[in-house]
Amino acid sequence: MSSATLTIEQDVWRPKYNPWLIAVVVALAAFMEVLDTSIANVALPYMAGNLGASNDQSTWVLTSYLVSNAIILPISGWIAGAIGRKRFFMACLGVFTISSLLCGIAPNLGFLLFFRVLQGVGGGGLQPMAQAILADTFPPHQRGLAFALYGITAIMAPTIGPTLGGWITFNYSWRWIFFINLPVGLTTWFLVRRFVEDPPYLAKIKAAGVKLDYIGIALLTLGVGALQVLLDKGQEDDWFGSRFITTLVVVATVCLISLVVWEWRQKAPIIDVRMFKSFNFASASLMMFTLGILLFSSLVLMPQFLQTLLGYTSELAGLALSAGGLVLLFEMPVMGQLTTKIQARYLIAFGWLSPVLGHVLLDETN
Amino acid sequence: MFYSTKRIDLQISFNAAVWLRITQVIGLGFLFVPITLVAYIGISPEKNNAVAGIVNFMRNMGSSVGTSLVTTLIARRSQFHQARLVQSVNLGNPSILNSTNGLAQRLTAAGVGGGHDSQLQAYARIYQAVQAQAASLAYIDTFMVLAVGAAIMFFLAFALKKNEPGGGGATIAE
Repeated sequence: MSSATLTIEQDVWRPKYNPWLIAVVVALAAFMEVLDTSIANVALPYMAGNLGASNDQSTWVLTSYLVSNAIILPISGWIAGAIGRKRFFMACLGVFTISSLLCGIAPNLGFLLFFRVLQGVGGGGLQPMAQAILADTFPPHQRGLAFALYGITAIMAPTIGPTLGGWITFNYSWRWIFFINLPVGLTTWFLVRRFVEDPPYLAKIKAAGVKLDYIGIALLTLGVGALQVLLDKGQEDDWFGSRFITTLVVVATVCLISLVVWEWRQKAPIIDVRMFKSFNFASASLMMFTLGILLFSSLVLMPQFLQTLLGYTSELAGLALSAGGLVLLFEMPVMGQLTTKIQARYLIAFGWLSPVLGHVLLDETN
Repeated sequence: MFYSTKRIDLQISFNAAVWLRITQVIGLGFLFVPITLVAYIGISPEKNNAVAGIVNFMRNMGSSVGTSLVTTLIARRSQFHQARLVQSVNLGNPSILNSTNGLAQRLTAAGVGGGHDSQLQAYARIYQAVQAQAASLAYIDTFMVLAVGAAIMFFLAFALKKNEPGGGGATIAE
């Protein structure tokens, strides 16, 4: 194995501080960020009313964040290599926190959208780097538990986001869904500065020097930006019935295919697409993609179903969803333990079987 | 008639939906940790950051695709089912005509409008029932699509590499 020396070095290096302390700090930062992808959903009508914008225009508050977020996410590993992971994480926290403040005091929709783009840029590094820090901080046999903590943030936060956002907006003002990031952001920034350190291998990558790949960045920005906007606006604009959406589909397809081809041939790619040569990595990526689909489709389906067909109030529907989040809170640590006893692929197989069985049950009830 | 052959009243759908929610949530909890672990298998440790970047990107794109997919499916399938239901639920169908008239009479008896007014209300209520029925059929179609996706992933799981439980991403030497 070519990386044998690195593996040994990796196993030998351990952080100075208690890994669980580090884990809680970075997971908290990631939690705050994931919360922001869904917390604004219910507040949109209030923002629109308050800022003198139409409901249609206000949906850009969500889209703007998702676009800049999705551009930073895949190149976050590369940025961490270029400037150091700790520094990158702190920069992200700083940008995220300051732009949260700015979002909260935005005088009109234009400014709010601009600050949301900034917030998305800052937020883009928090999720993946929290996961990467956890992976490096814990010895292999504890990684399962560490990822369980991270999983709670990644899967629970979007579940409680809409409920919390609705509660804050209803009782205070939509501006407070942004202000609540300030204390969390500031605290975690200082804690990260104090307790997180970069493993030695990162210094080597950094020392090797990094070249800016302008073509790659341009293709990524255009491709992912177009994709995110078309996914967000497709249904509203009737998909291929709209010239705007059709154009975006063409732009996204051309740019993303060129991006993969371009990056495949780079010596030091900004996105390491060659990792997809590993069947295992490619499958895991596809599964994570599908997991995202399942998670968010149920977040969209359930409240609609409960409210429009069964006449639930939005608060009750929100509570029903958050109750699902609680199940996860207890399940995740158990899973972390199980991964030390059972092969991951069998656990995964069971996990995918569960929604299928749910559907079979549904068919029988009918 | 479509109503009686496929008996999905809203009460059943609610129970089923609760079950679906439970099975979905439990499934998600089972998946996140092992999939994250599996992503690292066979990738050298100095690529940890790149792995985290791409895997998180994939999950986030999945959430955008999921939101978009479900919104579109519900809208389109509701239209489809409504069009189909209206083929049988219309006043040319004697049993529908009967139940509309019956409903109108009961509305009049209950003091909700009189004559023509209660007839209109009866139409409106039947129409609402059709819409609700179409929507719940659309939800069931959408769950079906998601279940098929999950089934494909189920089979893919067995193609993954063996790992040493507790090895944190190290593969079993072959």
